[in-house]
Amino acid sequence: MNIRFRKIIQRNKEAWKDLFHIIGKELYNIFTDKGVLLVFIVACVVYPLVCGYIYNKELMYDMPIAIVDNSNSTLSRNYLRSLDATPEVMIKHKCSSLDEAKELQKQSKVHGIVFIPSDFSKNINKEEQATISVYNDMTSFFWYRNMALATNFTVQEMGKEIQVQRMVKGGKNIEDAKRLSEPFEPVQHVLYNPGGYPSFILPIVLILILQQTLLIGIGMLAGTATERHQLHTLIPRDAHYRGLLRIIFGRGLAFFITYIPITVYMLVVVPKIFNLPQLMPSLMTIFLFIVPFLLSVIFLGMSISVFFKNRENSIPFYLFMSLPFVFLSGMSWPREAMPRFWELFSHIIPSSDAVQGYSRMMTMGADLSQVSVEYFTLWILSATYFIFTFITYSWRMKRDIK
Amino acid sequence: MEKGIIPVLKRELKKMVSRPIYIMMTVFIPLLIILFFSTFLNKGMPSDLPIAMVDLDSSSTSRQITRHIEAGQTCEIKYKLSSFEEAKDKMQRENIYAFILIPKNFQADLLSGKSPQIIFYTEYAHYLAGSATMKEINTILVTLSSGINLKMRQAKGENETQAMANIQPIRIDSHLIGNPLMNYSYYLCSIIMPGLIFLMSLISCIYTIGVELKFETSRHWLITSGGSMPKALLGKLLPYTFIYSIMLIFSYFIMSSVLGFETKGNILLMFLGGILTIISYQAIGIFIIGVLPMLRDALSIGAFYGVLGFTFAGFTYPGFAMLPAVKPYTLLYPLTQYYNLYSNIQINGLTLSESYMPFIMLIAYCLIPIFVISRLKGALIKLNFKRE
Repeated sequence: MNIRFRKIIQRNKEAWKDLFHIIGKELYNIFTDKGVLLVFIVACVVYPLVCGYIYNKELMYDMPIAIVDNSNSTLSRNYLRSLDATPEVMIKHKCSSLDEAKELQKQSKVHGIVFIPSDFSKNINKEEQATISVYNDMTSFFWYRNMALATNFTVQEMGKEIQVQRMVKGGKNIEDAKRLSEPFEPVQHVLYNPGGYPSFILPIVLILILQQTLLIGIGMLAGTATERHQLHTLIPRDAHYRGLLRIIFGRGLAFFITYIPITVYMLVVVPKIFNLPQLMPSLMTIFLFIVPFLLSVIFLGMSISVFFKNRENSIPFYLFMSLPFVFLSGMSWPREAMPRFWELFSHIIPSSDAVQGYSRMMTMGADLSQVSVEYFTLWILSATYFIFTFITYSWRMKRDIK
Repeated sequence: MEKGIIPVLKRELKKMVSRPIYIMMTVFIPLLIILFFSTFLNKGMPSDLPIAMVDLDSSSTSRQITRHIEAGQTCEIKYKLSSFEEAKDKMQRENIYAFILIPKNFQADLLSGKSPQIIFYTEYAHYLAGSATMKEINTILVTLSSGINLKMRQAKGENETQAMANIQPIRIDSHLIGNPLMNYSYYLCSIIMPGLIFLMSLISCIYTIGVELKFETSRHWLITSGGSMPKALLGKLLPYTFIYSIMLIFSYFIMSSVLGFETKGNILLMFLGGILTIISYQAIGIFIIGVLPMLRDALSIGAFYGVLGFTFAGFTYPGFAMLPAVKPYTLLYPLTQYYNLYSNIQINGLTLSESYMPFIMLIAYCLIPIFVISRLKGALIKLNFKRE
């Protein structure tokens, strides 16, 4: 009994020694490979900065539009002044005809047209409904959005004013008239992420960069190993490289250790630099949440990497997926609107659930229990991809021996 | 041995069928891209987005409001909750995109003319879902409020037209130029599908030239062409130009006949523009590998450059919103020109004479390799860049 127990410890001692040896060796491989460092470090440092710089939130405003004012009255000029005052649009061209304005829009010089017909003020003064025509530029949904926000708001406001004025003329006092014109008042509160587009897109980009660089880097290293080792084996001829579990854990942990500082930079420092919402309960919850994400990406990368014979093949293979993954994350295109198949498929990509959880923790202040579904999914993915890695590694090692 | 373009072409074709990576880059990936984007966004417009209702009044009016929201296309009331905190928790768990709070005594206040508030809470963490639910809830509530106003006015003896003219003195008549159904799929697929095909033409170009350097077969390649760089490059890259052009035209076919997207202008001009964009990206590929004649570094740089194009091209984020210092960089990307072509020709129906600038720009990109051709030739012959 005693002897057997000691034997087990003895054996485990060997295993630990091997494990640490492998981690060290793999870390050496990572940090001496210029190409991998380019992907792991330079891309991770530079890319978020470039994206954050482009998506500057202050500048979504004052979209150029054209107007055609055939009414040319005090009322129409008042309306246009309030339209110009909205943050969304800016009147850039005053055209004499609709055709002229449409020509400008065709050439993308303006991204919307407001046409005020000649009977505009006449109709209002006669207490009949007046119409203004809005021509939306649909080449981008941003144009449409800004135009709709600005025109709806100004028309509603002016309508309320006119209604109140008429009631006051009819003998009501202003306060009563205001209340009567609006039996109840809908009020909108943007509870989370009032910053809009930039602070919505950046968390998605950050998680995706982490995932894609890891996948590409792991593929590159496996390709290099295959190219470099004698007989093109994935595993080097090294006395310490024995036992599949030791090899898989050793390699996986080496990637994990490398990505700890990168993750801290991406998910903690970058949001600070660009002033993104950081409502997370604590940094620890972010870290706890991200552990299974990193593990699942690492094991996914390792299980696919056995198929790369050359180090360069991982870039063409993974690069194009970045955009579909953005859509599969369910942040930009709602989950409910996805076809069933793709909705289910999205969960096998670690970034989908990771983006959901991370973004909700950062921008909505969710705690770990509120993202437990995603957290659990990521752990399941980690376990599943670990088993995949085990299977593909043993397949590859058997083939290498032959 | 035969020399010239044709032998180079044959040599390349042999390479392309010899290793799976080439088939993957040229056939498998483009088809996957087309399949994904044509099936993923098929709804075009999100509907039945889950929201919650917190009805603290539970009166006949508040129930009526609930029914109206449910009748709308975009939102679906998935939960009926009893407090703000509960609803907020549901939102943080991502079960809902918005919630509406009807306060206590709402109906009583309404009837006594106190103009009570209904507060609806939305979020922009899910940008599209948040905007869509916000817009729909606001529209329905404003309409309902006007409806009550209308009834009160009718009770006082105003006729309906007259009452409507008072409630809504100004009406907006909205025209959606080029995408009347407000289909997101139209807008996203039209750029992303071709955009990813362009990206693959860039990557495959760098790859196929870089591989010659890596495996030191570049001299053989150059000799096959008879020592002429233009011949060597043309013979090598034409098969890719051809395959990606076919894929591009196939994606147009899917978009127009399966997804039903309309093209207002001449579709042949779009084909021409698309093929020129493919060649432009290949030209930039030659430039990158010419400057950095090492497969792995050139590929990494190319990947970095190519993916950023989707951010720079201005269709996810409009160019006018970018910092002035960023704007010139959009010129680095043929995709920007392709996006202009899409706006001008596909949506606005301009003719060639009205929209020649993007074409000239695209042709200019095709001339970029001139700057690196002798450097690349030197590298092909001397193989003087460290391989590993």
